[in-house]
Amino acid sequence: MFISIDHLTKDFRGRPAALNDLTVDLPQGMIGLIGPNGAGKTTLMRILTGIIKPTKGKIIIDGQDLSSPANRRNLKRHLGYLPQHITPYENLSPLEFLDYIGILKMIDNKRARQEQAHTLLEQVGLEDVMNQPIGGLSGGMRRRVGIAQALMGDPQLLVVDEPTAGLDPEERMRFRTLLAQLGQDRTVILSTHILDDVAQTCPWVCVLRCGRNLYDGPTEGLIHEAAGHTWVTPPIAAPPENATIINAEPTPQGTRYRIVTDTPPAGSVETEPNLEDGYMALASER
Amino acid sequence: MRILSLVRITLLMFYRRKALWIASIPLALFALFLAYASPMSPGFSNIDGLVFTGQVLAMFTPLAYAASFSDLMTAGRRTGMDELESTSPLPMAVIRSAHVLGAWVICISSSLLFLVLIAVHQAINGNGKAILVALAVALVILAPSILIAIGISALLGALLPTIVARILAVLVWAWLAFYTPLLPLPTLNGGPLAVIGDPIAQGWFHTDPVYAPANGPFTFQSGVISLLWQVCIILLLFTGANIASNHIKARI
Repeated sequence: MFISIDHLTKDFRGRPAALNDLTVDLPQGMIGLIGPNGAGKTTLMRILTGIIKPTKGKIIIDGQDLSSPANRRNLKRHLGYLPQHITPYENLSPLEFLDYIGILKMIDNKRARQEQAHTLLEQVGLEDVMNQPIGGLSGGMRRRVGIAQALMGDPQLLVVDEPTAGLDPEERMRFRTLLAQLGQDRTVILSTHILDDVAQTCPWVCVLRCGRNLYDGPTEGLIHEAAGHTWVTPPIAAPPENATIINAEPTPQGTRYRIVTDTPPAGSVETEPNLEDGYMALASER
Repeated sequence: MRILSLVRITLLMFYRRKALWIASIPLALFALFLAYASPMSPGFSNIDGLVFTGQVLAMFTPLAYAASFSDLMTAGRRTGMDELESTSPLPMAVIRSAHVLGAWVICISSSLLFLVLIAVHQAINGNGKAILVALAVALVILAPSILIAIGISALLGALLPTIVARILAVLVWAWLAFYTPLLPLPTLNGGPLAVIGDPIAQGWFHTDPVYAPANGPFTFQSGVISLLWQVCIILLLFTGANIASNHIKARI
């Protein structure tokens, strides 16, 4: 699915615009949506999924204008969504919950729904608890139920908001691999603060800040923003000034800093940038 | 078929709500005790007894439902399920209707069971119409009162904080069901707009009403007006709750 977002604005009464004249084109495949808190990521996803309507502007998905209710309804048939905060109905089992989601996605054949639910629960590692009440599952398991429900109906557009929050490292990697597989033949919009997840899975990235588009393009391009500006300092006593500190590694001689700056301290060594460096370079220059 | 599938799942959800049973079963048993032991009681051995029992159940059990369903339209906001359900191609009104139907079926089940048990006892003792009358009483007296109580609770819950809504919904139901026309404050009881089935009981089943009619005995037409009025109230309550809930969601 090719998504074209055209001059999109969303105002909430008494608050600054959550989206401010946002224009961006998103190609098919895995797309990372990143930005600080309050950048407008969740608002954009809620508009994309048809939960709320924009104040101004439009979204066109594969030539279908989402301002038309019929087009929105049609999109929803091919949509999977994982909200940031979701507590599935606690007195249903994961299997019953996925059955419910299947009905909501208009999968009318009960056997098909049940088979899909079984397969997805196995994919997210919940086969042993699929008949237990969700209320008795751990936070990570509930998150996995959320992930499985988003995949019901084999959606062509998958919108996931902080999907790996609350997952242990093993599960995070498992889900990352699953997302990367799904992204081969559909559009997956992944909003996250974990830049490593984006670096590992998303060839395309969109950076939002204050409801505006700061960057959209290949992930490599964002990394390139920090090329020639990423340095590792020698062990020093105090953090360097006029630099964005990416991380700090304590050593017996002092602290070694990884920084993004145009004016590195003496003795610093230029290093290969990564997505975190690129993101911080972009954020600090604008 | 799709809405039936949705109702099936919501039935499971409400069936497993222990608090609902803990609140409603004692009230139903208390209502049965009153229906049997009250000085007004015609007993359990005739049609009058069935109708009277239905009315007493319709007065008491909704107290539990008024307290239980203040989050019917709003729980999804807290859990994120509202967002998820909003991304379904099915209209939100259909999804919420399924939730209401599921809640209603669970709520009416215990009272219906008690009524049918009494009716079966009567049938065994030669009253062939008893089971049909029990079903009719459940449909035209119990069902609307339960839906009205759930609707009041859902509407208040969409407008007010849940705990306030629960208390207020119980008070509103108490006023609707127990406020006698003998007291010097306005009440719907004693008139065709009563929501505990007096006009239907007297107009259709020819039994004595719980509250004496203010303007002569209720007729068949009074029963029709009463039922239509209750259907209107139910539609207004749930439409209002749906609109209020959507309005709040749009602001978040």
